[in-house]
Amino acid sequence: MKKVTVLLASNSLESLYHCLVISMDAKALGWEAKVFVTSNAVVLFTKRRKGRAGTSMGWLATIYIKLRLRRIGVSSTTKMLEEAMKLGVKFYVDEVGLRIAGMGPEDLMEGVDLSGGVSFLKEAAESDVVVTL
Amino acid sequence: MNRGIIESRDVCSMVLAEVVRIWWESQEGDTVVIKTPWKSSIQEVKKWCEETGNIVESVQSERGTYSITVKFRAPRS
Repeated sequence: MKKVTVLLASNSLESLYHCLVISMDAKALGWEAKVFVTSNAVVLFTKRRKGRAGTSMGWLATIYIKLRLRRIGVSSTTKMLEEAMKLGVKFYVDEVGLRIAGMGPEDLMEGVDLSGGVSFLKEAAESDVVVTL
Repeated sequence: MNRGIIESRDVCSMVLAEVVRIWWESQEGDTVVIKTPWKSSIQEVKKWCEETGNIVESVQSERGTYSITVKFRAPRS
């Protein structure tokens, strides 16, 4: 079975959207898909955020882009994250990033696990495709 | 033979997720018709079929909506 590993290090809507598209498409193809989340992206996978993200272009651009996405019929990143989990995409969050954000493992969404650099390197080394966002 | 219909304006990944769900519960010979405004979905669905062993039976276009009929040939691995 082919495998894709995604390293998500940005909490922007753009990065999360591409991360979800790539990992969901991989699962649709029957591949294994693992996403390692680090840096400020960790907050997106907490119970409070559940994949809710803003763009890197500021709040006004975020409102406009979200409105456009809704108008053309594209799902929110929250809904896409739900679907990705249903398809079997595995998400791993860096514990250090989580602690820096003032949160702990109990704040993570159900189905999201903790991980570190060694796990990412091992998975990446065994993957057919590695994507960094 | 069952014939499912997916009518969606959502991105291809969300549509493919739905196709996969239908595929998981389908029998060989069942079909699904995907109705989408996204032209790039035609190529994406064709490539998905190549990888999974299913076939694109037909592609039609009418007033900005593409209808892609997929016939399930292969069992889900």
